[in-house]
Amino acid sequence: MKKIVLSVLLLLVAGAVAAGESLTVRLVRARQGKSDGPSPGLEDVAPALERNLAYGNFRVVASATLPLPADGSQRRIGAYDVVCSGPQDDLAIEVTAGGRPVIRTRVVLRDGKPLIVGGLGSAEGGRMMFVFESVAGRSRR
Amino acid sequence: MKTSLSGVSPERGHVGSVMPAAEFWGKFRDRAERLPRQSPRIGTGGLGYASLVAAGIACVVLVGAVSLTKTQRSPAAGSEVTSLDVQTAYSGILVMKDPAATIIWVMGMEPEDAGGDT
Repeated sequence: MKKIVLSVLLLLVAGAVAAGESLTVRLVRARQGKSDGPSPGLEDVAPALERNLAYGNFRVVASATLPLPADGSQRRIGAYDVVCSGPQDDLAIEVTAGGRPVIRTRVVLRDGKPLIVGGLGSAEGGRMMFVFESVAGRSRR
Repeated sequence: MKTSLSGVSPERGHVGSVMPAAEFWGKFRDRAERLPRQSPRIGTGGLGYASLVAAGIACVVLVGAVSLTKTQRSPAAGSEVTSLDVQTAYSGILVMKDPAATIIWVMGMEPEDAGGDT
């Protein structure tokens, strides 16, 4: 009985220690005009986007989830290549398009507080933006 | 009610063979010393209650420390940009701090070849 109780306690501690953070990256296209309704996958940031930007239609084009600290590997997100490296309180992000660097930035990401970097032009119209957010819990690939 | 003891003889050992107290307790102690003894387990071997309680307290402290560390990394302030380098032509940068999100908007960026959905 004692061993079972001790094992449960150890498992609880191991779970608390092992539960890490992950970084979600969403590529969003903003267009003029009214949206048909809440954009799927954007429910958390859509109100902030609508309050602050002169666009009414937001749609997730692609997304990825990376472990934190980011390992610096290159991810293809939509038509962009994104490289993230470092911990969430000093995360380096580099976005390239067609092999050409577009944006390089360092950010402090706080849990549940998305950071949106946008304004990228798109040949298909509208503007593109990246939504970076750190999420507590096990990382998913 | 009266009980008759007339039928009980001393030879049968029921009455009349009373042992002196000192002798009785001496024999009792002799017999007791010959029996195997079991010492109390608490604190002497394996995981007693004391070590179990100590392990529980250690677990609670460790879980609390992990939770506190995570909470301290999540203050009310939003996410922020510490440096930004835009490597294409642009006309300006807007920083919008909304309670729900921080928005960095680069204005006047030229369309990229890679702006498509694929």
